[in-house]
Amino acid sequence: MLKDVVSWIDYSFFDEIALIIFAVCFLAIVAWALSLRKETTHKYGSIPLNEDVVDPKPSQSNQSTNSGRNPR
Amino acid sequence: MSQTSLTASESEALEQFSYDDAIVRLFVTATIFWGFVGTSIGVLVSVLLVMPSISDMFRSDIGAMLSFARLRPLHTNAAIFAFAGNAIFAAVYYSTQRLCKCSMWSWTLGRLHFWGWQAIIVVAAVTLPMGITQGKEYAEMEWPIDLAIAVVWTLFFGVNFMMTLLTRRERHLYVSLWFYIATIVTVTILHVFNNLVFPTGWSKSYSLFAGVQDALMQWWYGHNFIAFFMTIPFLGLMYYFLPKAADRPVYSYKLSIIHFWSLVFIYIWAGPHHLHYTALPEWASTLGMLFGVMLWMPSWGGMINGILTLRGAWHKVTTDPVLKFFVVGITFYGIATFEGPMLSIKSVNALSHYTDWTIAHAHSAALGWNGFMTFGMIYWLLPRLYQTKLWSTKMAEWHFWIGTIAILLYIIPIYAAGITQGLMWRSLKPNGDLMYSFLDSLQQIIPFWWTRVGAGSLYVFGVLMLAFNALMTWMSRPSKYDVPVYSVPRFSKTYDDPEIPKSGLAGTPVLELAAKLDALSKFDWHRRWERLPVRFTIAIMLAVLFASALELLPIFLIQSNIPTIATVKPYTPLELAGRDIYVAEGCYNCHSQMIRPMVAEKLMFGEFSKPGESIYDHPFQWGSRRIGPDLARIGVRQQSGLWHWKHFEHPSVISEGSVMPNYRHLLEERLNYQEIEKRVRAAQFLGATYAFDLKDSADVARKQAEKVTAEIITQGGPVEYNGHLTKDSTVIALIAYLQRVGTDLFKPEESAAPAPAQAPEARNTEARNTEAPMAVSISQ
Repeated sequence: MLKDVVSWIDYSFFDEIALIIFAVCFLAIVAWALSLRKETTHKYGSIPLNEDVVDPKPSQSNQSTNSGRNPR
Repeated sequence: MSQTSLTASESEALEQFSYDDAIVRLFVTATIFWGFVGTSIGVLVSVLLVMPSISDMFRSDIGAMLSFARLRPLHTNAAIFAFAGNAIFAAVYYSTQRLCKCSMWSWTLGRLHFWGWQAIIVVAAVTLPMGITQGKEYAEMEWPIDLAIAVVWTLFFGVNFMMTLLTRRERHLYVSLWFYIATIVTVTILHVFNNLVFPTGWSKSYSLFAGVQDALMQWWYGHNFIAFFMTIPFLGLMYYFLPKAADRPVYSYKLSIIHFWSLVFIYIWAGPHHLHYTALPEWASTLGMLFGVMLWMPSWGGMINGILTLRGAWHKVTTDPVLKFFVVGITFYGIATFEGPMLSIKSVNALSHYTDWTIAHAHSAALGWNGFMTFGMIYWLLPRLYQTKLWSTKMAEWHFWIGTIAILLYIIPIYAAGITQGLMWRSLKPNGDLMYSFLDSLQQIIPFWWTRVGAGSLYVFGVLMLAFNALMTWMSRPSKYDVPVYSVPRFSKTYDDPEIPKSGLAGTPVLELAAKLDALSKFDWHRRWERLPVRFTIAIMLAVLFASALELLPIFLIQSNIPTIATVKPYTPLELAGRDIYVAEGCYNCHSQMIRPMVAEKLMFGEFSKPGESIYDHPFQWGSRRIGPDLARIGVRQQSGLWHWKHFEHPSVISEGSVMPNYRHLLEERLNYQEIEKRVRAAQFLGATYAFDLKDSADVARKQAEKVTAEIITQGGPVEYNGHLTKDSTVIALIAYLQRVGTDLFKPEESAAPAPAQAPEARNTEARNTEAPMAVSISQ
């Protein structure tokens, strides 16, 4: 039964399906990325530069706990 | 984070955490150490190519481990798994904690990951030179090591990383983390599927796939392993460490998103371009080429994004070696990702494939992109990890210049060597004969190989400078590292998402579906998904699995893709033993077994290879490089057992100018006939049929060995060698295999009925009698 089903399927159109799926997904992602607001992307893009932790408390070594203490 | 909404009770419950930088220090140290080892082995193998006689200075069993073919996998695996692997882990452990504003989920898993990975590298470094290999490029390590990799990668590393994401304190997942997720997911999938094997012992296994299917699976793995291990995580590294070093955000976050998804969607399809003009079906090859070419745009989008991140900060590049390394690293990313798509175009690939051009391409990426991004990251990390100044910025500058010169000195001659090879192989005289022999082309490029020895040594010297600088920086560290402890409110599990944008079509007389689509197009759903690592991971996994299935399934399920050839029969027990030796010695590192349908190839090596010829080849041995001639028709071209015997004993005497080392250990070692039965049973399990009782495998093999030996002795060969009869030499099995390779195609169909093991001697005679004469014989 399974063998019949498998042999019946025509796999030769797989590459066309793949191309269509890829194109749809790609265009959706591009459209979404372009729809982002500038302030949003700036905020996201700046995440690596903002090492401040919410509500930092003094460290055990009694020094500032902001990670900005590390040399940049 | 600013969007966190805390209840009163949550804000009271403070959590304490510290960043686990000790694990980053471990991985950085390991990166430097394995970087030195991996590049040093690279220099060693480059020396072995120009001075293959080095192994003559050692006892034959020691010399065997000093052959290019056995050590080249050690070099590639050390560069990939040890050097690049540890660099990736250092980057991931450092940046993930900062990007998630939390500590790693489990410090214990981190240690298990570190030590487990180093143990894997050490075991690989011991076993690969011993000839314990699966015989597939970048996947040489045998199945117990593969299992260990799966455990360490997925359970120790993957789980720790994903749990860290789930316990993070930064709502948005920064783009670097997306690249890391894609790395973990895809490498797991690639590793598992390509390493599906049938084990016959702790140190031997056979790929479940054969021939064309195995080739497609391997290059689906090979291409994507380079993509998702050597590119994607390094892009994650770039998107974190470059903005940090330049002290400005990435040029375009939108571009980084498009860059990411394009690579995830496209990379996974491009593998078949490594198999142009082989026995792979045309449609798969074309698919690989199209997606290969498509990779150019997103790759350059990423490169441009990286370079433009330095806008307004170029003055820093002149004084900061870290930025210098990054700029050149990203430039080499651009070069390699222009060249890669170009090489995937069939007409270009026809010239470049099997030549040193591929080697130059790989090294411009590995030394330039991976190496320099790693060095830049390490120089940036050293003062932060050791909480002191970098010992010598000047030395880092020198490392940069020496490394850059070394890369150029390496790749320019090797590009020249590759193009020289490609052009010489296809040159024809006006009468249609070949202009050059294979050995002519080899002799022409040896001076380029010498240049590579110098360039490689220079690059290693640079790595040594880094090691020394790191050591001196470590020595000036404080007596006790300052480990800040952060006390922060627990991260709220609930989150007030902004309201989903309403459709502008509300109230308009349209179908409800149109209104829903309009709301969907506002893409608010993706902004929610970005914060959900599990769902995000599933999305990546689906993209990769779906594409892989669509590409791989037709080859496995459509019979017409691999037309069978009635005369192609399973290998005999002795030939199977010989094939194992071929794989163990790593012959595929220098010899292809795939003749392309081109005039020059046919003239040089014989009739082009057919898909149905390698259906019993577990694993396939098509190779990717021709340091020596193609062997797909060696059984047709060279049937003399004595020639093979003498060639293995003194290759350069038989083929003047050959760079093949001697394989005297194969003459001196005794073949273990009792082991052969296991091998035959594995072949039977994988689809071969045998007419004899498998318990008699050793006897069947002995009988064939006696025939092969009798022929050698008749031709003037020795009766005894190293204290045992010639027929008991290991090399007899390898000779039997080589005498068989490529001959089945020319057997008359009616004589192919008996199982091969019943009459191997008859088959050999037929092959000799029925084969059409080669137009040109080549120098071996």
